[in-house]
Amino acid sequence: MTNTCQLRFARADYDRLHAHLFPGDHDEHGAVLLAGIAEKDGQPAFLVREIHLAKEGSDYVEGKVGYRALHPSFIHKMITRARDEKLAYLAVHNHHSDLCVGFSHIDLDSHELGYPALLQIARGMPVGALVFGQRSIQSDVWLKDGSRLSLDHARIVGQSVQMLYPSSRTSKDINDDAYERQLRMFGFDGQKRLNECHVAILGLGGIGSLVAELLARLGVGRFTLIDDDVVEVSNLSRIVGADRVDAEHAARKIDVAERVILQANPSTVVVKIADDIAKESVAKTLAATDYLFLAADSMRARLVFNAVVHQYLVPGVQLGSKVRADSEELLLDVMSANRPVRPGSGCLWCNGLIDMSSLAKEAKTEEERKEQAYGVEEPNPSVITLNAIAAAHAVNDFLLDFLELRSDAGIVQYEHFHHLSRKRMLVEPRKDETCPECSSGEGRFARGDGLNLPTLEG
Amino acid sequence: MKPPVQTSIEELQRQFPDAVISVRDDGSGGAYVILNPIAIGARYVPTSTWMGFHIPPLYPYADIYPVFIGSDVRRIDGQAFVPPVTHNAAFEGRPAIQVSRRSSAAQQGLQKAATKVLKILDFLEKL
Repeated sequence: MTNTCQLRFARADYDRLHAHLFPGDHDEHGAVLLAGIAEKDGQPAFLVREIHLAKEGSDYVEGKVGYRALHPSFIHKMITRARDEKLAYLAVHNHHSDLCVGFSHIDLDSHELGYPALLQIARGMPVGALVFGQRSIQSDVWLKDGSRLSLDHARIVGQSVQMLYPSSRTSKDINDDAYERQLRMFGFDGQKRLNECHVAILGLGGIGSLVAELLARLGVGRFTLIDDDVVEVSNLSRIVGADRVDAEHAARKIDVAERVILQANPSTVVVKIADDIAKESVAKTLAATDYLFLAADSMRARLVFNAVVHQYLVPGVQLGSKVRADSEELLLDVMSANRPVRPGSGCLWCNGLIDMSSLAKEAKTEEERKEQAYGVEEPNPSVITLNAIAAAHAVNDFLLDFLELRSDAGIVQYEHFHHLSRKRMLVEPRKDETCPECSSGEGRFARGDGLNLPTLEG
Repeated sequence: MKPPVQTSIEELQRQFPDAVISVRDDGSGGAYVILNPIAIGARYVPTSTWMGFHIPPLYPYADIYPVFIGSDVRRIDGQAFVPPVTHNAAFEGRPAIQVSRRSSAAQQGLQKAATKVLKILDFLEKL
């Protein structure tokens, strides 16, 4: 096995599977996972959509060759479901190892014996096996072209983002004094993980530009920047790195952000997309990223972001600030928002944060808006300090959660700062079990490339 | 045209088999649609008219809003229309009456174009 793949779980699903495999009896247990598929830089990622725990004695029985095996009727039920749902079939069992795990010769022999037939039944969908240690996973996934995939890494996406590998990895020293002080906090492993991380920032205005600078100075190695807007004089109070010359020349916001990022770290890879986030070709680029920062204020950006999080199991955060005043311009609320969005933990759609009417309005031409009496809207107030609160908290959460510097509390909470009342509110998002966007029933959860994203053409 | 938009037009044709449906691609995946004729009931003269709307490319997430009917429609009781029904609008070059009925935020389930038309007809019937 020379080719590799990735595996992604939502946290709650991984915890349920882990509890089944390691109940404390030091025995072997089994399950089948059905997974959506996403191609990421030529490396398939399997996105766990369904977990079917094998019942002891009926679904998981004494093996003819090995110790135990999935019962043929259970396998048949699962492989036909995988075929019908266009999902990959992944059989699971565990070994009692910890940070290093691999298949036994008996395991691999059984794959040779069984998987060619399963590939035929699956009609082109990948089939394979996963073996779990307590904190390690290995794969042997078979593709229809005859190639087999071992696991590069698995990612457990909850509040924090846990990485698992077939065996423990050691990081080389990073010889860059620029990071010397922060290395004292999260070490070479953390710095390496930041360097290998690919983030996307959607919107490079007041909040997104701050996010870009903070991430670049942390040492994030790869950015995708998406914004089709240019700098105006009225932006200069908020966009980090922008100056009068940028405004006079209508510099693209993504170019200003790139300049700031490269000042912080010249070796960073920056991909710039000066286009609408909601276009299909743009939205698809997000699937290959590791973390999303939504700092754009359009509803369609929210819709696409939310879909990518749940369809591709990419963690993200929606950021914003808002000022409300009455007709006398008396301030009613001054707010910063930091809303982490995680697969399996509620979404912007089922929390009513994607407005259908606003989506309709954004689809209209300027002329149509005038004709249909939408009126002319005054720009919303926007202040750098409010943006900075949202940006700093979101990037700090990213740092702590992506580097596993704090334990996963098991719940995701929106963080709302109401500055006039000096209150910080933690709001647990609701989760609609029938939500078309985040549920695993009829929803897009972990469907990967098997489903279209809600996008515009282009 | 995006597949959900295409599907919604097929559903409209099934729901309103007597109407001719004209469709213009909006260039982003949505469509401008006119159904003609649509019966709006005995409380109006004429009792049937055309009905037009934009199905946005992000349908069924984006609302179908507003909806337009023929500008010659009058209430049989002689009363004038009041907001959210307004005169002096236009749709696809046709003089029109605009019916501004949003789908409620409480109805965050995915909408259907045919359902939206039925809701507008229900609204007009009860107006």
